[in-house]
Amino acid sequence: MSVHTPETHYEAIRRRGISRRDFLKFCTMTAAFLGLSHSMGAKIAQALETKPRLPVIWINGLSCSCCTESFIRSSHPLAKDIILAMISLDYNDTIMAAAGDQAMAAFEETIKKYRGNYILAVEGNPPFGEEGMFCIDGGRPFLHKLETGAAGAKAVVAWGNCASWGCVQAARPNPTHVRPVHKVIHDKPVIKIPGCPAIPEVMSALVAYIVTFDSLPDVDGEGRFASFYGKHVHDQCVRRAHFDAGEFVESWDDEGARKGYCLYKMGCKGPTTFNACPATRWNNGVSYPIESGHGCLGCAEQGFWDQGSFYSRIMDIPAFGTMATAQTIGKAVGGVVVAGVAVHAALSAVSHLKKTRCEKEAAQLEAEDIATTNADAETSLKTKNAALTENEASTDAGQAASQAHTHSKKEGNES
Amino acid sequence: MDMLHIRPRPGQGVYVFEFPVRIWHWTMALAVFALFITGHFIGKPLHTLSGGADDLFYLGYTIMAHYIAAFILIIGMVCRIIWAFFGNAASRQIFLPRVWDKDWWADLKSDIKWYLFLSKEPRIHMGHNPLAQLGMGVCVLDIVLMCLTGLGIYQSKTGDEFFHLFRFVQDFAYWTGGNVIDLVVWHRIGMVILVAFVILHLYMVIREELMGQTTLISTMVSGFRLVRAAKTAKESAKRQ
Repeated sequence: MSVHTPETHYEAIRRRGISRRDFLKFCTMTAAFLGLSHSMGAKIAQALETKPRLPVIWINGLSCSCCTESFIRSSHPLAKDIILAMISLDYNDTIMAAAGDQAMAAFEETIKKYRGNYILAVEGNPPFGEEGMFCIDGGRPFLHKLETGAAGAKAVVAWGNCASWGCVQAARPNPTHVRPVHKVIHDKPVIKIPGCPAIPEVMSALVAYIVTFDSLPDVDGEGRFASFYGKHVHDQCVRRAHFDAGEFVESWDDEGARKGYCLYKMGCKGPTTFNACPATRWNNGVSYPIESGHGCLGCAEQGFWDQGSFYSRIMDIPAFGTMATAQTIGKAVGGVVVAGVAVHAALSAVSHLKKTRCEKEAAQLEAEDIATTNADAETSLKTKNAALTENEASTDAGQAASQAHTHSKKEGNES
Repeated sequence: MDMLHIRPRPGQGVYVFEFPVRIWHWTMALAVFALFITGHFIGKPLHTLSGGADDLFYLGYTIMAHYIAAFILIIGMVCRIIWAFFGNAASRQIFLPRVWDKDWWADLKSDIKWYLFLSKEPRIHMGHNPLAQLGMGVCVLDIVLMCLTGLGIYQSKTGDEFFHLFRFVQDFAYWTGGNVIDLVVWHRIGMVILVAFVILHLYMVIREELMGQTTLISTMVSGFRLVRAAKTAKESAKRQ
């Protein structure tokens, strides 16, 4: 490798013995992944042939290295070679030969050599508990290495769920106080590529994009590489038709499971997980978890360890002392409300009946009262009328009396 | 005079719920009912009995029905909020309980007493009573939150640019340390609150219809609130 004339990606790929045909296939595939038109494949190829290689420095914080594993263990050698050649890792403490002081020296040298041009891929995250002593790299807390690396980087890639969201070490109660990369590095663009592990093809596509367009790709509202994290797994799923038709796996190894039905009822998190698994697939496009018969764990999502069982879509809500789910809360609230209504209704009925009985009695008493008053009024009226007939002696006395009678009766009825 | 303070004689009606309010109410009732049913089956779908993925789309249609009912609810809610600016005094009560009003608090106290069986006669309210205003206010707030979480989930699935206006709901879920599945959970809890509201609402209106002094259910049909003829002869004598 010549230090003085900058190597291109194409040269690096050819150096690894990959044919031009495979290189062009890779370019076309990458254009498709990025959602670009078919002709853009040629543009990517041209850029990779002519522009200097984009160096990638890969550092590991608190992580399980599964992202590196997924990188180097793709079953198809060609895909692995292309991706590794594309990434052309200049420093990766997991897979490089150097160790100890040599490795430290290599890191220092690389960040000096490519200052301002390299991509810093961060796998894992820095712990802040005990002043960062939970992750020591080269005798100093990992935080130091992350900050040194990021200082000279063109951009920082938060590679995997650890770096993007915190993953398992950030799960409650987060004993080592880890923080994802975007909460530590504020002065450099951070592109999140979450996943546990993340999909290797996304990294090669990212590098191809930056080389081709000389700019960083679009990120979504959460800082993720938009081309790969724009859709839910559910909306690209090969088993989606079974969901829409209402065909589900009801228990492991049932007929539905053997027929490849939808895993929604087995707790698949596909409907709420942004990732490109169904499009890129794993192990050189062999399959992805749902296609292989297991529900999505939601491994590309923030806090997926804290959201209850992988085999249930009902999430735990920790705010309620003992772990409760929306379902238990629902049952409790529903039960309390129904019981409350029933008790209140019974009490209301009792009080209402009591009241109506009292009212009836009162009405009876009053009716009697009124009857006597009416009778009094009647007699007084009668005497009055009698006096009138006597005085005027013109109209029929009986008629007047009956008129008065009906009048007073009317009054009684009205009241 | 303010329609809320009219005290009609027994048998006389006051026009309380205007036409748009009544239409909105019954549209809401139907939409919410449809949303409960479809939402339940989206959360816990039934397994199809016959057919296959090539000719069946039952859960797809269920989700479609949920979306349609949801859009009716959202549009209805928006129209209703606009109507609150133009409608009568009763049309604003569910959005803005008069908590700054001393009389309102006194009314609330008497309402609570009435529901705790401490007072024999309920006060007559032409609009909603203060307790109902609070209940309806919580319900309106809950429906708004349901609309927001629903739109937050919807925008995460659709490519339509317009709905990306509601991206902030998703961003909020991430800000709290979760993801879209939290929106689903909140949507479910909101549903529980709404079910509780519907049960209480149905109970209260039936109770008031039987025990109170004014009409309720027919008011939401015709718009007129009637004060019932008092049952005791004494009271009617007093009124005369």
